[in-house]
Amino acid sequence: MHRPQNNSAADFEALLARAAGQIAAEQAAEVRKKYEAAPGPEYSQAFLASIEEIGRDAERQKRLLFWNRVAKRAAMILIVVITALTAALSVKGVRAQLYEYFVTHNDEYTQVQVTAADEKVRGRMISEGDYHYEPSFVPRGFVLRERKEEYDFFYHLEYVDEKAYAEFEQRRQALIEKWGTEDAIPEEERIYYNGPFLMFEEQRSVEGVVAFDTEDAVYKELELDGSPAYLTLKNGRATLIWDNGDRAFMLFGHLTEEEILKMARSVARVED
Amino acid sequence: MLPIMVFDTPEQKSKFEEAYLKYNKMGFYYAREILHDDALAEDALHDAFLSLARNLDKIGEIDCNKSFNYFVTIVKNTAISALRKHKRAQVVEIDDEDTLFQLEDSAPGPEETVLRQDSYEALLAAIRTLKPEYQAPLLLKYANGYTEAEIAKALGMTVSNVSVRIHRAKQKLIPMLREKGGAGFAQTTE
Repeated sequence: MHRPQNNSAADFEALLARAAGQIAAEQAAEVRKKYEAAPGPEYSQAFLASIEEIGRDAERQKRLLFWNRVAKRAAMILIVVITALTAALSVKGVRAQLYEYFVTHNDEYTQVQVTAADEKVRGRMISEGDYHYEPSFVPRGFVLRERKEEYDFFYHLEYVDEKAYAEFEQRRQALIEKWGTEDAIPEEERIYYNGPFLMFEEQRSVEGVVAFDTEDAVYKELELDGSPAYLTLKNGRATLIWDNGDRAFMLFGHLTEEEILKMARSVARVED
Repeated sequence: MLPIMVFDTPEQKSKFEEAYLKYNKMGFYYAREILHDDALAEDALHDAFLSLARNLDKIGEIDCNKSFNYFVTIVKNTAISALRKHKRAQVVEIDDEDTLFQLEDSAPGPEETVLRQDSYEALLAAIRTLKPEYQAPLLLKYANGYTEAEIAKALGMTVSNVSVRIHRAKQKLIPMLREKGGAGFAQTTE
């Protein structure tokens, strides 16, 4: 097939850079034109306090190893996403159907890197379609609190202990009544739900690194749905990652080994 | 009154203060234009400044257009995200607006497509029609020259998400360019 002389990926990239620059500049110019001469807004005290907090928070955040979904539960962190390897004691690769798992054991944690087995699709969507997976078994006492789908990449379910959450909600409502709005509650009086919880997550574009805190923990490598599965148990909490040949999953929370495996085995496809 | 902030170095503090003084008003009104709510606009503005604070070393002079372009892109992205979150109750519903654009043909990657100079206007029009969640990472990469890791940090996403979104944004652009550009495009094949 004839290849025209003026083609190249580089041409496209250069044109894209020029066009993107123009669009970004246009959007900013429009904002400036509309609002540069506008009067200054009257900000709430809560907003001004939050800006002040940014300065104190900025450097702290740079030093934290966190995974954005779990960071809000700092007291319960079992799983940390890290982007750089530290000195490893041993490395083992296990090839599964759609996913590859690279396990690195360190003194205090075990890192499992989950990636697409086919190099050509790494970094891209692995599984598409108008369906998701969810567990049909949920341990007694837990209720679904949040269902979230982040565009195409994650399907996320969060369960809480019904009784503990009801108590938390009562205290939170009392604070809102006291201060008028949730934003008006001063930081030192804010409360967060710290009761028992479970999280189920389905990933459709898997390039994740999960680190299990294995210091004084039980760590097991199993098989689930024909794929490797990685389980850790510590302080009454369990974490499990595995795939079913279509998508990859993670379960973690206040579960026993028996409960987490039962919940994992109950995961089934649900049409959207 | 400028809130007191604490940074590691006086230069960082000064830079953030300058950004706050120069950008806060425009950022607030822009966010409010999207969100139609003062409190939500404040939240989005806070998130945008938080992102800026975490990426101060990547931003040039506050006075320059490129830095302001970056800030506007971030505000737009945080405001749109807040709008989506606010619209949804406990159960997420995927309505038609949120359904991803499905390519009708199996378009090859951009690297395999021929592009001629007269396609520039078509490309501009195509980028403008991208949904914000695809446009924002694309603009940060190609307009601001950020790496995918830097974009992930700025937008609060994972690097793989950024990578996939940029790839998909480019995949969406090609069929749009064919539609708008007509004979201006050709496709290479082996």
